[in-house]
Amino acid sequence: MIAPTPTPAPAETRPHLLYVAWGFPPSRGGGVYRTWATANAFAAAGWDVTVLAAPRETFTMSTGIDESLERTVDPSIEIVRVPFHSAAFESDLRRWPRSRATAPELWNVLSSRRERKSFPERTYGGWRSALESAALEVHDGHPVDLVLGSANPHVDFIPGHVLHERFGIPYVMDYRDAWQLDVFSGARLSPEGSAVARWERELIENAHAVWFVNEPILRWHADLYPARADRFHVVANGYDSPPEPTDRMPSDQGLVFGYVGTMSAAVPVDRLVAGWRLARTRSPLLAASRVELWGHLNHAGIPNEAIARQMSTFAENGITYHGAVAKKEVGAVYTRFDALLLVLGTGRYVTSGKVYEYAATGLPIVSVHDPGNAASDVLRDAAAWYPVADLEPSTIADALIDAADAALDQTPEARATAREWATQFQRGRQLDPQIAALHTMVDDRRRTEAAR
Amino acid sequence: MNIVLFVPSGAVDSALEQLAPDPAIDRITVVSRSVPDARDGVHAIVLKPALSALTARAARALGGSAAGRNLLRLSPLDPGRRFSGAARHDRELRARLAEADLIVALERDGILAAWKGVRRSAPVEAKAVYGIAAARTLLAAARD
Repeated sequence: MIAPTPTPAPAETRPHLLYVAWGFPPSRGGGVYRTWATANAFAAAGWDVTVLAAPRETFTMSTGIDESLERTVDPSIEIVRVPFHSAAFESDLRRWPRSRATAPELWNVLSSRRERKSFPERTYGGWRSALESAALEVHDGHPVDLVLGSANPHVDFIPGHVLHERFGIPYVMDYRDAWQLDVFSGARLSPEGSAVARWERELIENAHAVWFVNEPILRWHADLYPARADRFHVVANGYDSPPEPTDRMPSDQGLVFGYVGTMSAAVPVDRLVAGWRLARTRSPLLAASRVELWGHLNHAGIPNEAIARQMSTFAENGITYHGAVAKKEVGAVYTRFDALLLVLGTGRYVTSGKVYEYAATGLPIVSVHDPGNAASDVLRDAAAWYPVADLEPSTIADALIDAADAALDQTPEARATAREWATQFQRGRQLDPQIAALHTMVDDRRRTEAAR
Repeated sequence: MNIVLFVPSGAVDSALEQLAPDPAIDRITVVSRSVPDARDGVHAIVLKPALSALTARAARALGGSAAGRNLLRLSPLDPGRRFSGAARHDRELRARLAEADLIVALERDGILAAWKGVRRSAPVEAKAVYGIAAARTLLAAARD
């Protein structure tokens, strides 16, 4: 990340950001790098930052944690852990009723109806009242200049809504995903007139700005809310620090292909395995090569059924699973690889965060995802990108073989050039202009209020 | 600690790596439908839920679609229920549960067997959780 120029300012003039992120470190869940980087970037730019987040225990007892990430949160940031209770995060089996143990999926559906009473969001809706109280308490103790909510969960937008309604404080909505749009299928999830649709319309109506992670998601929302589209911005993900350069020399005795990321049910690991098996029958180099998979097996810390089925075939195909990797270790993990596997769920709105980090390695990348994914837009001009036209095993096998040849041929100079090309994806290049604009807006508001 | 892991698929290697049990003080029992993928320092109890050829075919047919799988989950053919049924009659497992300090369901199909095992056979002070993260946290707390 480009380090923003620190803005030394007396405490009374520093703007105060209330940042709402349920999944703040030590969470290791999806989107946590963005929340971590955003809070740190505001602090580095001279803001007082208060974060409203779920308690540590929520993560230690469910999704797991990344303490290395927590240790790199700017020490000036105040973190308020807001009590959070949801049946979905109850891991103590002694507290489970028989009906839940017997039919967990059905029980979850019925339970979610109760949780949606106060806010229309499964699992997280019940957090609304605790968030409202926490936001009001923070503002009472240290007046807030701006609220930034990071969704999902979308209940994170509530503090901005409350402080805007009561005190006119501006708020920004940061969509890491989308609320009404299924980014995989492209379908609208909530019909017009539904509680979700009404909430989103009202929130967007009053927002100072709305951030989206890519252009296709922004355009979808601009079509839905054309009168507010001028407030929409793409604030793409990016990489936080470049992975360590490596002097590793690919060997024609066998290569290492790597995947780093969460393997959720949407990630087509089965397609990758099918393509990889076929490639090994076609290419002696691939037959001597290996695949290393690094990351969590699903978001909730429980392996999804699809990956559990695939794992029994890993050993015979030269595939090894290495478990989760802490943020501080990610750079070192990339030095083990000769080429990378970008395996993503299908959807033209899907970018993923790891595509930027992949690009920053300078290594050849095989895209095992629908060619229409937004991730393709990121890599289109990359020097060593091997996309597939479809997810048939034969197509994937061809791409793997091409990438293997490219990895063997890649010179250190070519890799350095690829790394230089990817510097455009540093996260700071996305965040810093937005933060500067918000700083100006807050200063202008303060001057206007002082003049009254 | 005496730790009992319910892992129907038998894919327990990664979980054990994360739990990092101490062979000198921890005794691990893995309860699965097939031979576990990690055996060093592990006591395996392999359960074979009885299933007639006809019901096995019906279960396979239902498992081919999302709607079918949901229907299957609510029926007696649900893999979790069948695994639990097999666990109920295993004397060795009951003995292990009676000495357990920590019982963990690592997969969805292991939940019911673990839940019933806790109620029927485990000491009242034994902890019982779903998921590797909770198990790691409890294990770390017990060692502190």
